[in-house]
Amino acid sequence: MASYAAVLSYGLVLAMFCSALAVRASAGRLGEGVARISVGASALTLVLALALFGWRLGHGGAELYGIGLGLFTLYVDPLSTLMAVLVSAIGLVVHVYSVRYMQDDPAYVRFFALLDTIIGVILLMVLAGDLLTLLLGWHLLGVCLYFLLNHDTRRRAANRFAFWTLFTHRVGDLPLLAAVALVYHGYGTLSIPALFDAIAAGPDKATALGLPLNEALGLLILFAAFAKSAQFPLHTWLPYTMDGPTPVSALMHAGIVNAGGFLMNRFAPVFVETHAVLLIAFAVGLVTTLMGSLMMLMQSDIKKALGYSTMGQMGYMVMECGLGAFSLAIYHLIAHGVFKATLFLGSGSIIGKARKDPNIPEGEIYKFMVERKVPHPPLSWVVFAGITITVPLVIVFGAHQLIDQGFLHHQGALILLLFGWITGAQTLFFVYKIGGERPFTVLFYVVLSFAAVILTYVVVGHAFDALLYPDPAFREALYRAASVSSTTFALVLVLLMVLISAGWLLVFRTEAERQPLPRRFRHLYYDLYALLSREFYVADLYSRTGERLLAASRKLNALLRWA
Amino acid sequence: MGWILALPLFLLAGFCLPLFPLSIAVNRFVQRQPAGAGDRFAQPRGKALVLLGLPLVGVLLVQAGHWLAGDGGGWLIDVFALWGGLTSLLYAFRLLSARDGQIWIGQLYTSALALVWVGAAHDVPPLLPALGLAASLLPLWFLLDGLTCRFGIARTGLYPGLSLRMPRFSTLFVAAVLAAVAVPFSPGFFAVANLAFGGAASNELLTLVPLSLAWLLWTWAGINLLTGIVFGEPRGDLDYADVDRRTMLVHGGGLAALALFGLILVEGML
Repeated sequence: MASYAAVLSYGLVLAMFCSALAVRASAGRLGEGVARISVGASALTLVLALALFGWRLGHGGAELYGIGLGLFTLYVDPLSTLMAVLVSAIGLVVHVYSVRYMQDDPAYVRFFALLDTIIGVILLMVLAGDLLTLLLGWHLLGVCLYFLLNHDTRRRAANRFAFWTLFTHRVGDLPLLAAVALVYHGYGTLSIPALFDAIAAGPDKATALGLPLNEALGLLILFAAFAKSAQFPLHTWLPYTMDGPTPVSALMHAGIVNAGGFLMNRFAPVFVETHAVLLIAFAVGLVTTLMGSLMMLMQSDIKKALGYSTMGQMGYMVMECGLGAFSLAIYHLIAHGVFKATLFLGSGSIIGKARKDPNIPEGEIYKFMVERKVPHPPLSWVVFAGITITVPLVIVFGAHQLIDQGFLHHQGALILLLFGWITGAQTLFFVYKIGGERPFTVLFYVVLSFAAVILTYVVVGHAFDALLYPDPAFREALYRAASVSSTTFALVLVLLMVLISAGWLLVFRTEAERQPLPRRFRHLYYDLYALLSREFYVADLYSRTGERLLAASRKLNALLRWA
Repeated sequence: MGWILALPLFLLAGFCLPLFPLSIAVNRFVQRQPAGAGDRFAQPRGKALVLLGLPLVGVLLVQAGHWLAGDGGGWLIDVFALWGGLTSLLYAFRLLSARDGQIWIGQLYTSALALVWVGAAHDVPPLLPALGLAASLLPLWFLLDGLTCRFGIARTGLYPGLSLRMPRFSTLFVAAVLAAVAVPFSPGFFAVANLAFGGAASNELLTLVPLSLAWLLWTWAGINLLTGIVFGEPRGDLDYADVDRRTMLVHGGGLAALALFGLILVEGML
């Protein structure tokens, strides 16, 4: 039976590479018909991934398969098989969409060959059983993406932003190379399961310079994940790469950008042995979430807004890992992948419709956004504020108490609940703000949807916990690695809740008095607006630094006479 | 006192596994134009042979120096490792602004081969990494020569957009640039990994910092090269002639052989 899984896993990886070769070889004969090969291979990959996932569910545990080389071993465990299903499913959707979207494109064949290759590379990466194969996949992913983004070889903008992408991805490759080198030196193995066993057996190793090895490894893995998952300040490649074809954007935002979350989960046994690393993940994830969400609000281009939305979501995913909720991050990346792929693939038709009819359809949003004549609900703002603050709080805590009471003992879980509360309350505040003719009906539906979302999140989150990390002691250890002292935590939590509640009360009051905060603090508002509209000058800073480095290089070469 | 005997050998090796400013000699050699038909070492094939042979001589000299220096000469090889790391970074940085093909490949050769010193100081057997790094540059060397034959000069920015006019050549060129900047599965990638894995055992900082930074800069420089030759709007006033199928197969076969060599290299490493 083990050989059955080995054949499935190698077949899964090889199918897309073979398809890429077949597409190239038969381009002259089939023309645009090569897409049939590509879509067929993609469908086959999904079937194989589902079979492998099913097999793994039936047998439990994890297996390592090899072909007699030190390289190209595959590790079949719940995480890798689940990711394989996600990658191949998104791959199939993108393939099917591309068949017509890319029609009449002069580089149709090259596009499909590259698309097949990148899916093969991602599958190799998620199934890698040794660190060198993982590094190969990690490295090649950026290279393949560069060529896909550069699909229109004439466009300077596409070329420029594809370069940004490759360069940032390369920045993320280096820490992973360093981590693999440290593992090889510290534990004498490159095999992933052997590494986990070695870490569990002797977690207190040090590097040649005397640093705690696991702490150093954790940091390096984190930095590698930050670059691939567009964490601040390595985020600029993500929202700017809209010059590539829409299917590539969908693949990138629904699949490739999740690589960071996958990497952090793959190395969860390393993070268990760290002390402060996950706090860094939390901090960076939080900053990225806020930055991404703020900058998303500033965009008028739908695809760029979606790009920043992805950045915010990736920040949230990294933050979940930083809080010890590793399996929740995987659930999040799958859910995000599905909805973001849908949004990207749908954005093309929305742009098309808007070009035909640029008017905003009349409705409550129109009245709110354009006419600005909507009355607030016939209820005191104090009562509505009370509903806004308490109802989501009751829902998020109630849902978690219903499913798993012990969950609330984890600091990370409480922080996640806090975010759930903020999200729910923000939605309810918006109901108050847009008003309308039937505010209570809208309020009822919003509360109902919010409760459904939270319940699903909790139930599926627990199912993912049981699937990916079946050992409760390991799950506890992950939450412990992400914890701070309970007094500090309690103080910060209470302070945050008071501040947030006070903030909402203030916003409600100013809204009710028709004196919104932006009008009161006009100068501050405009300064912030300018800063956000320039995206905190991060991209400008990188461009300027790049230009200066090139100028310095030219000067140095001239000085040394180019020899 | 073995280090006194080892020093001249290491200095001689500094010409073959180039160390700045000894590296100027190699770079001048790469840029040299043939004086006539009989000037064999200035012809592309002759130069390629020299570039492949030099690291072998360098490795022999380093190993002889190691043997002469003995245990007490460890500090000397550490100095040369630091020198090698700095040379690699210097040339990788200069590579960013190189636009002429010969200057570009000479500087990349220097930056790559100087890294062998970093590994040599930390007991990484230098032969395979040196060969791997040098061999990875060969396909690009010959393709740049092909560009010189077609257009009179191999220079980025002069005839952009070749992917639209010479698609076969461009495919080969992209693969060759990727191999040169140590992208998997080129032997260069495995050589870098070999040096990193071996060197990290002795000194992470001295090994990983120059390796990583140089590798990052190579990628940037490689993209610059592709941007000015393969991508962009093609000129309408030039005659383009793509490579024939036979040449494509020969070069493709060479690249496949290199990938195979890379796999052998990695299996030797593990």
